[in-house]
This record gives sequence, C-alpha cells and structure tokens, in this order.
Amino acid sequence: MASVRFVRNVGLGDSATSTQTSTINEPTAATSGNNAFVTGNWFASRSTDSGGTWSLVDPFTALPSAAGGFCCDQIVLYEPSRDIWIWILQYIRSGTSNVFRVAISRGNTFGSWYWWDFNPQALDATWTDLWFDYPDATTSANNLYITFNAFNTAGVWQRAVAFKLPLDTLRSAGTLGYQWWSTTTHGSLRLTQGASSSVFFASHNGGTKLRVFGWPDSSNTIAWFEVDVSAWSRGPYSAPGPGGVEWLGRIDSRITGAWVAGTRAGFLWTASARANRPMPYVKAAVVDFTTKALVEEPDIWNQQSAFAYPAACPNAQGVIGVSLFFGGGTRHPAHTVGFRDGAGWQLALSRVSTHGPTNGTWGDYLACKKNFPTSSEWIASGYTLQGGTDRKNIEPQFVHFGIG
Amino acid sequence: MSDSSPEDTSGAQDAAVASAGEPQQLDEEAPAAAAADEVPTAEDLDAREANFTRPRKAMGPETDDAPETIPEEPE
Repeated sequence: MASVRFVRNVGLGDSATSTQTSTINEPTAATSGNNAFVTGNWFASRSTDSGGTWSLVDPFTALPSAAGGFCCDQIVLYEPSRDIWIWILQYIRSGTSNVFRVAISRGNTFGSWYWWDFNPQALDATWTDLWFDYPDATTSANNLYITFNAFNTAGVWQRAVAFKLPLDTLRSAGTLGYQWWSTTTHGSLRLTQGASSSVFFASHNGGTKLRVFGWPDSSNTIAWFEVDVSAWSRGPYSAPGPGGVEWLGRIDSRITGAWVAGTRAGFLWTASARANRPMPYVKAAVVDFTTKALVEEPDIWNQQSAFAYPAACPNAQGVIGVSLFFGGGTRHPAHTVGFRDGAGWQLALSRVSTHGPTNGTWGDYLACKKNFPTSSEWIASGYTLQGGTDRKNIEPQFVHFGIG
Repeated sequence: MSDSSPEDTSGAQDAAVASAGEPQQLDEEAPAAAAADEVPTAEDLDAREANFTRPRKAMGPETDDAPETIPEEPE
C-alpha cells in the first residue's frame, strides 16, 4: 500500500515569521528548486535551501504601501512555464475601497519585485463602496486566474469577481490588459489547481446543487452548468478537542479545495456531522466537465475527529494531493497531508498542535501545490499551535511530500 | 454586464476587459522602506487578532436560506 513520504516537514520558527502570526493563519507555499516562499497572516518567509532555513520577508515593508496599508490575505504561486513567482497581497480599505496587489519576481532575480495594483473602480467606476477580500489564485497554460469576494463598507457581501491575467505580460512587465467577470449571485469562487486549457471554479447554489463555471484559456466566455450532489449539512459545526476546546468556531461551507485533472474537476468543502458522518468532514464532489455529470463523491471523514479546511492539487500524474486539518476528540488541530489512493485517501499528520485556539479561531484556508521541479510531489502549507494558545504560538508548517 | 441567475441550470457570459497599465517597481534612488508601511508592533497585531473573534464575513448568498421573520409588535 502506498503511503505519504515526507521530503521536508518543517515548522517556521520565530525568526522566520518575527512572530507576526495569527491563529487565522491562511498560509500558502510555493517552491522552485531550492527556493521556497511561504505567506500567511501577517508574514512572508523565504528559504534558499529547500526549506531548511527561513528568513522573514516582511509584507509590511518589502513593498511600498497601498490604500490603507498591508492587511492580511496573501497567496504565493510559482509558475514554471514563465519562471515567475506570483505574490498576491490584500491591502486595508482606505475610505470605501481597497486594492489587491499582484507582485511578480522572475526566477533569476527572485526577491526583486514589480507589481500591479487593482481596485474596484478600475473595473466599474460606480463601484465606489466596494473592497476586495478572500482571494484565490491558480495558473493555466497561459493565464493567471484570481478570484475575490467584494464587500461594502457595512461588511455586507456584494459580489464575487474573477480575473484572467496573461502570464506572458506578467513575465515581460509590459502593459497589462486583462479580462474580468463578476457575479452577484455566487460567492467565494474557488479555482481549480492543475489547469491547462481551462480553469473551473464552483460555488454552492442552494441545497445540494453545485454550480460549476468554466473559463477557457483561449476564450473570454465563462460558461456554467449545475450538478446535484448527495445530501450534506452546512452546520452547525463543532469538534471540540481536549478540554472541550473548540477549533471550528469560524468555519462555514464555502468550497476551499478544487482541482482539475483530465476531464474531471473536483471540489472539496467542510460539511457538518450527519448520519454516518459523526464528525464534521470534507465533502467531495468530482464532476466530468465533458458530460456535466457528477462521477464520484470521495468524502474524507473519520469517526473520532473532524477534517476541515481542505486544499487540493493534482501532481504531474494526475494524483490528487490534499492539505487539511484534522482535530477534535482526543486531538487538538493537526495539519495533515496526503493523496487520493484508489477509492480512498492516504493521509499523514505533519504536525499536531499542543493546544487548541481560544474563541474557536482557526482557518480560513490552506494551500496544496504541485512541487517544482519534481512534479510527482506536492508542497503543502499548514500550521499548528506549539506551547500555548497565543497567536505568537502559531507555527506555520512547510511540507514537501510525495508517494512513498 | 447582466448577472447569472441562481435559477438557471446552465448559461454563459462574456468577460469584460480592462488595463492595469505598466507595472510599478522599487525606485533604486529611493529606499523601499521610505514608502512602506510601518512595522507593526506586537500590540498592533494583538489588536488585529482580537478582531478575528468577530463573526466571519459572509461567503456569498445562500439561496436556500429562508429570510428571518420578525413579527409585528403590539401597538
């Protein structure tokens, strides 16, 4: 039986983060050879020795300020086809609006960044009371796709926006023309990792319906279809660990993991307990986008503890890797990685928290990416609490793993 | 641009186009730190952490949610 093989599994200590950490850590990670980059709330960190040692890249000072200053959500990607690092940063609202930044560093000058800022009024001049939050990003053969939710100053969700930026221009640092699309009916659009000619994203459409959107690389048309999935429950969520400490106080049912491989696109989200699923679990739905049919639902679940906050990505062979949390019952939240193996999943805990969070604060997203250049392996980001419950006790986890 | 409807089971829309212009980059004549944010203090970050105890922002519309019903109060 195949098992998880850890190539590198390391926690980022205080010197790597300057303790600029949060229990809502939202870590992401990417690699290119010996170089690795990890982002999270509210730090970034770089390694030049395959994750052996790390040094802080302070998102507050590494780049000039924008809007109301650096906020929080970040994503890092490495795109090997153009040899570029992509660093997305969200800035605080200034007045009624904010910006997000897409910063690019070429592989041969890693650490030297140029960037474009995006604000809502650049898309529609009437969007004067709107700010971006909760990003996702992926690359295809020729484009960078980004999604955001957008809220008004009262904090009410207004719309979701999807962007498509050409990789060639990101590489060349030329004048950046791009495509964008928006919806006021579906939020938290999660992009498929592993895309080539088309990127898919999905959102719940009430009840057990899943709306799957497809945006081809070579087209400016976004098309969608719907599939029905089996019954699941969207809360309440609870999975208290030792001492009754809750870690699912913020979670909801938004899709947090998505991939595409061959003719199939898969989507993962956290569902609450129900019959035959005694703890919150990862609900999975895999669709064939050529037939627009649901083909399987390989849930990730356990009798004693909950699985939550899944991220996913295929390796070069199309095997699906995952990064997620496992906790509750006898366990404080543990970061977990693994891969699809036949009808099931092979998972291994990368690190277990010594404590649970106060106030149930945990999340909101993780990352799982195809490693480069060994593309049969994956890179995953996670985090745990080590030695206490304070935000400064958070240790981000960088995991490079494969199939053993 | 018209919006997608939750009632439709399939459909398509065209994307819009825009330009972000030329990229910005650090001016070698001016240190990056001059235009950067101030490094936050531990207390600043503690305050940010405290904000996370507020309810999470909505993920988007949930079309099967029944609206809250508020009965009228007696006159």
